[in-house]
Amino acid sequence: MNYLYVCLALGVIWAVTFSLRGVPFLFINKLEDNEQINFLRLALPGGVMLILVGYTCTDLPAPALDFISLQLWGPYLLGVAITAGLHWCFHNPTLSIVAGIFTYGLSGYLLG
Amino acid sequence: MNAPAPPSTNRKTRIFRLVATVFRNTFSVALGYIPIGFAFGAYAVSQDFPIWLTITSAVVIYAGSMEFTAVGLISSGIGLWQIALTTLFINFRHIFYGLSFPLQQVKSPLGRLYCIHALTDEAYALATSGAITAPPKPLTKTSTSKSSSSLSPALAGKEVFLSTLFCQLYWVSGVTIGAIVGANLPIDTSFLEFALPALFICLAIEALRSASNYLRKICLLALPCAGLGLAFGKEYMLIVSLFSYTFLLLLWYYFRPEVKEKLVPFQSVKLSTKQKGKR
Repeated sequence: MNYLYVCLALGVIWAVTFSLRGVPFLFINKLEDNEQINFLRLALPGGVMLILVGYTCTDLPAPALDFISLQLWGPYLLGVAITAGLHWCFHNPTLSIVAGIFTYGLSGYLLG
Repeated sequence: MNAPAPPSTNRKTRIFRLVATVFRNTFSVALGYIPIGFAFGAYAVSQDFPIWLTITSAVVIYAGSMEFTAVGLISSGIGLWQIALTTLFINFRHIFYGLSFPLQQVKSPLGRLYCIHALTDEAYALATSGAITAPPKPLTKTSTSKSSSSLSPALAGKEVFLSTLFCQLYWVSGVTIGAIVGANLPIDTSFLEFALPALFICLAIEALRSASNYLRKICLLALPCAGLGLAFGKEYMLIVSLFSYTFLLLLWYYFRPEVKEKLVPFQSVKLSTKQKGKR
């Protein structure tokens, strides 16, 4: 492994990521009293998290996205249903996440 | 625990309480990050990354899915320009997070730089879902807003910083354990990946619960956007979904006349925490 290349690659990735994360803060002071930005500030998080749920259910490295195969979708659907149901009722992240992973792993094993 | 400690309490107790609060608030992220970090560590080592390099990359590139991608890119020896472009696409979503992350509460410049460095999906979700600066149990609208305004701004800033720091510590420790274990015994840990969707489900439910009925309905606009993004394939999903959701929100803002009066109580709550009374 060429460590100079690896260091440069890590540096490039860091620089791009840091810039993307930092850019909005350069303008935020000017936008502080902007009603439209305040509206976005309130309405973005909830929706963004819903989008991230969908994204993480398809972006995992292991299974390819396949709309037909129940083998791939079954574990996700069951895992999402159990996690969301438990969290809605008991409001305990530990319980919901552990039960969700367990459901996902077990149903993947049984269906696979 | 909701009220800030009285000034007479000594420094140690206050620091201990702050750390305990932050630990409790970030615990759900630990549940997601440690298994995923473990999976990442085991994966990177299986791709011939030395353990020290795996840990270094967890510290330097702290960005979930980009980290998995980086391992693939680096071990294939692809050009730096292509790496930069891929990063730009995969992490482009972070440009949206600065709009609502409470960075202005963090007072120290170094702390701010660190928070920008560590502004992952989870750090953003945690800081905006009301998990920070809110009591864990009662989740009605009024109690959340009350508690966030009763916290002193300085404490809130320290909480934001420490929560962000704790999240990366969980991530790095998960990666370290995964790399060490993965280098020594090959095991199938792929089911641990569900920790990430599970974490976001919990955070989404928290965010939707603490929102008003009106705001909650608006957030549901994200569902068709997620569907649209999915249709473009997973490489472009986040960019398409986030752009279309932001676009829909702007349309809503300009074409729904009731939006301003519905959001006024929220704005005054938000702004009062920054000592910025409107009108």
